[in-house]
Amino acid sequence: MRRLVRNWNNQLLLNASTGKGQCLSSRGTSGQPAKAEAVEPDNNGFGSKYCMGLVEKYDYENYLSTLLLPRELRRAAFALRAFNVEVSRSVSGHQIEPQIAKLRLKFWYDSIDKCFERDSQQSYVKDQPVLRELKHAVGTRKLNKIYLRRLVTARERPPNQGFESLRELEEYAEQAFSSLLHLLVEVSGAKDLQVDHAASHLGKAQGIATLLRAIPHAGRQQAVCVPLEVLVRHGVSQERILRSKSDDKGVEECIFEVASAANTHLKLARQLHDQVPRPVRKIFLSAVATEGYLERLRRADFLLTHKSCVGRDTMLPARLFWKSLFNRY
Amino acid sequence: MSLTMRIFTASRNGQRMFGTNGARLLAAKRTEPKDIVEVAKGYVYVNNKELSMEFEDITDRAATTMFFGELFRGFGVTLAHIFKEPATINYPFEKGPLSPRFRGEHALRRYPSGEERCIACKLCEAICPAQAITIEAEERADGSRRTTRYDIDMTKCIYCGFCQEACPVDAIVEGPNFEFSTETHEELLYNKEKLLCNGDKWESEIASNLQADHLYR
Repeated sequence: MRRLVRNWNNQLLLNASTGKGQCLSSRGTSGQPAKAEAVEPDNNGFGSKYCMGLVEKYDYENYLSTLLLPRELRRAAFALRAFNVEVSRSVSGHQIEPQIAKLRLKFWYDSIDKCFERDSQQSYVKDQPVLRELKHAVGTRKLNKIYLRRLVTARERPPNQGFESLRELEEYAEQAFSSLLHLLVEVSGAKDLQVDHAASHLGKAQGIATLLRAIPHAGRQQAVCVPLEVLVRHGVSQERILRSKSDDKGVEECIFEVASAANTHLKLARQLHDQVPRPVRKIFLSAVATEGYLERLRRADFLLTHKSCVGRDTMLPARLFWKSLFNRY
Repeated sequence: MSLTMRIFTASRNGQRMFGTNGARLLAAKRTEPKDIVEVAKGYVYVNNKELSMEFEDITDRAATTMFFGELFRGFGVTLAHIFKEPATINYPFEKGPLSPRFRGEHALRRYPSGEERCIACKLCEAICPAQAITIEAEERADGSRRTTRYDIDMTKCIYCGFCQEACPVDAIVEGPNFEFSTETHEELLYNKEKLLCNGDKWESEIASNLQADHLYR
């Protein structure tokens, strides 16, 4: 299975590199030559390969869904995803000191500005493959700096600060996860209120699911993401959630409430399916992975440490391919 | 295998195995050894018990001494250990397991394309609590910003791992190598060449230690 996926990747990479050539030449004729030439060609596509490798390693599910994007979007999409991985990794690595995490976030925050600078200015951007690719994406597409900044600022939240209410949790998810989807939509060039709406809902669902997933992983190193409001309503302590016994009804109720919030957002995003233009739907393919996780969680009676919820989903590639074949999400 | 097991258990529990057989023959007369002093109710006397002065027990003890009973039991233990798997490892050739988070000798990594990762942001220098890192940087002819000097004084380093955590591009890492003792102090003042060389040597181990499957924040 792994070998199959790898072969598939190599083929896609080949396609991507040939596609890039076509892309560059076509852009030359369509009247943006200054920008296209300003960004120097990468040495044998190392930057894009590095970004793909990074996303594959740290964000496997989204890696699969990004592979299914149309060829011309793929390079920029991987650049954005890789940037997201780098930012997320600065705060979620094991045993990272909060002060040090702040240092790293500040570095990424500053490098966003550097990516938007003109080429004549000397900076470290061209020495780091992810930033180099991001700069390429910024140079060729119209990306909103605010969304990029939000990816960083949202994660500045101290790890020991829990969420007060479900609303606050959704807000965090919107800031950290929807921004990335908004950016990907911008890469595709679509401008539609309904698309933004769907991206916002999908990001919230994704964010909440990811945070739930982080509970058994991070353990006591950070505050439990289940909002205090929900915990109080069911009279459950954070400790009980961390212990995660299979017969604890209160914990099950809490997790159910948070997971169903994610599910509601997922459904809302799916309701907008028909209003979303066809090319953009592929960007929202990551909904399939989120749905899969929520479904597995439901089957496991909302036990976060259940074997099926912790490991990889082996059927995901097939389901993603199926969905993308019919252009749905 | 079962034979060695039997030898091993026999030598350790010989008293229990053969003792009970012997005891069964003479079961009727055997008496429990008594405590030497009177013990209040609810307490347990844990010191040596008073030896039984029955003639038969005295003979038993004398026979054990005369036939070197304890000595042979000791040999039994030794013999059994020859067949057991050793608890130690053959150190310089075999090494014990290391945690992926182990913080050993430092290394500077490269990208798979061969470029240095370090972009001279100096965060590691700033965070180092022992001030063991010294960096000087300048722009190269091709416009890239690289360090001209990257020194770590390994005798100052306290192996806290902050440099590794602070590095936004995963350039400086504390690798799994713990065998870098030297004869002189000067050899422990690492320069950039040494660190890059370490990186090239340990890259596969370092890369496999930095794995994760899913984003969590």
